[in-house]
Amino acid sequence: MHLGGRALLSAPPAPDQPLSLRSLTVRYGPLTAVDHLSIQVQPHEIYGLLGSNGAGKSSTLKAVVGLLAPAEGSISVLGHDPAREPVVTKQIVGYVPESALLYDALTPREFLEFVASVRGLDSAQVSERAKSYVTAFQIEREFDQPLATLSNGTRQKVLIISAFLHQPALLVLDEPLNSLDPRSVRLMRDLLTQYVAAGPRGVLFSTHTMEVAERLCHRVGILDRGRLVGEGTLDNLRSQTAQGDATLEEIFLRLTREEEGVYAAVRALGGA
Amino acid sequence: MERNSPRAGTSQPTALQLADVAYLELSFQAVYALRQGNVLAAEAPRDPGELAETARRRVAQSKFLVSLLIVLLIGGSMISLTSIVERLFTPPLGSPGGIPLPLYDGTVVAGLLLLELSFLWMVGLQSLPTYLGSQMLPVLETLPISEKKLNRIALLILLRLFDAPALTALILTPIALAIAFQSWLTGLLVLPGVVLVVVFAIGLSLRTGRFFVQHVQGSRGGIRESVLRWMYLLLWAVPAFGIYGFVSFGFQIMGGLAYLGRIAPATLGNLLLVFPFPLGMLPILGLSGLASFSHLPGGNGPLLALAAAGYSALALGVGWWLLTAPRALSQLAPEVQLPDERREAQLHPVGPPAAILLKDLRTASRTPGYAFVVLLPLIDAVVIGLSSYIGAPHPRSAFDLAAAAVSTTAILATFFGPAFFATEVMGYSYTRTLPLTNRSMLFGKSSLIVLIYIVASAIVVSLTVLRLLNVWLFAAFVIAELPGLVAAAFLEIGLLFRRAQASGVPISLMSSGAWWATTVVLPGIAIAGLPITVFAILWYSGVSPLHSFLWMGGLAVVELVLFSFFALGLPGRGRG
Repeated sequence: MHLGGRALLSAPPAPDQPLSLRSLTVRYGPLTAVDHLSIQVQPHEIYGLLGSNGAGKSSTLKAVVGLLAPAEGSISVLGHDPAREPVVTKQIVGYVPESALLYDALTPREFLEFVASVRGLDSAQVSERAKSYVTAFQIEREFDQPLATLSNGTRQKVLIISAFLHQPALLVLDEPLNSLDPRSVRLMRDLLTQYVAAGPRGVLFSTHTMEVAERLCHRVGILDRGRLVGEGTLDNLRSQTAQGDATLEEIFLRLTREEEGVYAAVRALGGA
Repeated sequence: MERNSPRAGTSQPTALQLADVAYLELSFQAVYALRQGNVLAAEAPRDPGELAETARRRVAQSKFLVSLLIVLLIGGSMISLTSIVERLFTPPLGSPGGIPLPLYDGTVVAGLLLLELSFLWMVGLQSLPTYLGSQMLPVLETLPISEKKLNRIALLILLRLFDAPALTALILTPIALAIAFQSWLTGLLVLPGVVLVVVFAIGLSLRTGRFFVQHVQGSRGGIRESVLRWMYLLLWAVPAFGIYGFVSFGFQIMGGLAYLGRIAPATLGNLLLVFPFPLGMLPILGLSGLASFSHLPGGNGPLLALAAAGYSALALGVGWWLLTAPRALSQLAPEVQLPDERREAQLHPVGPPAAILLKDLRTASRTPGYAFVVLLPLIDAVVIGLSSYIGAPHPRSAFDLAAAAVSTTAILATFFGPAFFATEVMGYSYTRTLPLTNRSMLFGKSSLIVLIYIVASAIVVSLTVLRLLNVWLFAAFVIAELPGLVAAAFLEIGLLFRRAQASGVPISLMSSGAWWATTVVLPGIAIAGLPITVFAILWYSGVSPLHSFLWMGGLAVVELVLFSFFALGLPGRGRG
């Protein structure tokens, strides 16, 4: 199955649409990581991108934030093309990468000051905002400790705070809950829901944790080997797969044709 | 026991084989820094074998260049041992101002050993972050490998970082001295000294590396802590200062020893017991036997031999310690002290170029490799400034010395442009998602080079101007050179940017990017050095100071205009 119809491609992206990908293709040499992917993130929407390891989720997100150049297709963030207007686009996007690779020699305060400086944020406003997030994520004691000495979870919290600092129109989050403790996962979920409810913003969220996607995302797109094989709300997907009371995990395994493979692998391991 | 236990069937790989794999990974991380956040450029080869081969080649190229510098040091010492130079320092015995030939020769050999020690120590300090950052040993620690083998692997990896420069010193120093003294025995007798130098250099690198992990890496933010950190990091400039001081002040050192021999021979005798003098004297013993020591003021052959034996015993102890120290270092965690009080999350944003500058200084304050490149030009300024303050006999020579200090600073600041760019590797992929323009990055990086130049010039001014110089004359020199320095910085950063956009961020540390750094630095030095050279030619040809400065400044401005076009015309408005 290959979703993302021609009708979508012909209409120009709306200028108030947080994100529109049209036939996006990302290649690493001969390997096609993302294959003609077309999705839209609407205002007030949290869109979950699901897929197995190596399905193309991170490559899609990296292309959106300008880390990878698309081989084909286009990206529009609120009507701006990241390839032609990189600085403008980056101003309105907040990104949390998959791995918390930061300037290890800086402290969270120094790192956030650097991000706020590059984004040209006002001191009073950004301090107030940083204070709220730092308190919410409970990292006050670690705030002046070098990132190199902090746990992965704390580093992840710093990255999340840096993505929220400028209240972007589009948040791009690559497996943001991976290293977080249960309290922070809950906090993050509520924060994101509140964030998109408060304004015409969008969130593109990648995960392979079905439970998180089911609870948090308004719509999901399922990627398999770089292609979009299913998209919509949970109810839409249930009807697409003709599984009335299926969980997202069951739908995912069905759409990616991995259900039988999982059973076979378990049987094989059981006999080992 | 299970049939497929790890020991059954195939034999375990040897420590050498495991160290080889670990070293390849270390080279890979040193070149590509993927674990530090660097991303491979689209044009980079995707075949892992090809990537590994490139990493191997680039590290080997860098080692070759580093070894070449040791060859230069040895060559310099050989020149000092030629009869023409010897005659300059050693007039007939009894005449004032002369230094006894055995003392002269022994001091040159000891000086060479000191230079090699300082240089290898510096190589170790530069390579240590790569060793610690590769995280190879923690991975191996989780595997069923014996403690003894893990210690051996750690030591082998560490030795690989030093192999080419250490082997160059171990092989070429005896050969060079054998040729210079035309005696194979003399050449052979320097070998114990070089072995000790290698052992001590590795030991000192590890010891200072340990200090870095414990006291610098985990140091908290704040003004007091920053000042303390920079003071700690001065330690990293000590070996460079050793090299620099000995090369720059060799003449004064010889003069000082000759003077000491005349006024206090006993003190000189005690001084000769300090490392590496006894080991430097050893080849002289081979040259003319114990009789040569009778010519040494305060010289005492048996005492010197005893001191050499003492240092050898110490080296044995260090060698024993080195068997386990590299692994212990890789397991060492920074001292983290979380405060009880909670500080306010007040942020103070600045403009983007200033943010780059501030970030680089903050990074440098916790990264010895970068702290070293920031501190070296400043220390250079202090040393030359002090020497001109103390020793210059008249204003003209004071001006020459001060101008030399500023010129060296300009060259040194330019020399480290690629290293400042390399800080971008850490967290680079994240920074590329920020709305940072190429120009902000260019101005931020160039301003660090300019800042070093200005601070160093201010140090020279404060040390010399008040006593000897016409302040306006000196200020004119500093200002006239400034556009040339900015032009050089623009050229280097512009080149590095283009390279980064084409094939990823170049890592320009001594351990991995010396080759690439040299190709960028050489044109930079030429651009920064040209106005100074023109000034020197005019000044010493008797052209008036005003005209000399006008020519120098004019040329520097032309350079700045030319290279501004090059740097500001970088492709794309954002960062690729």
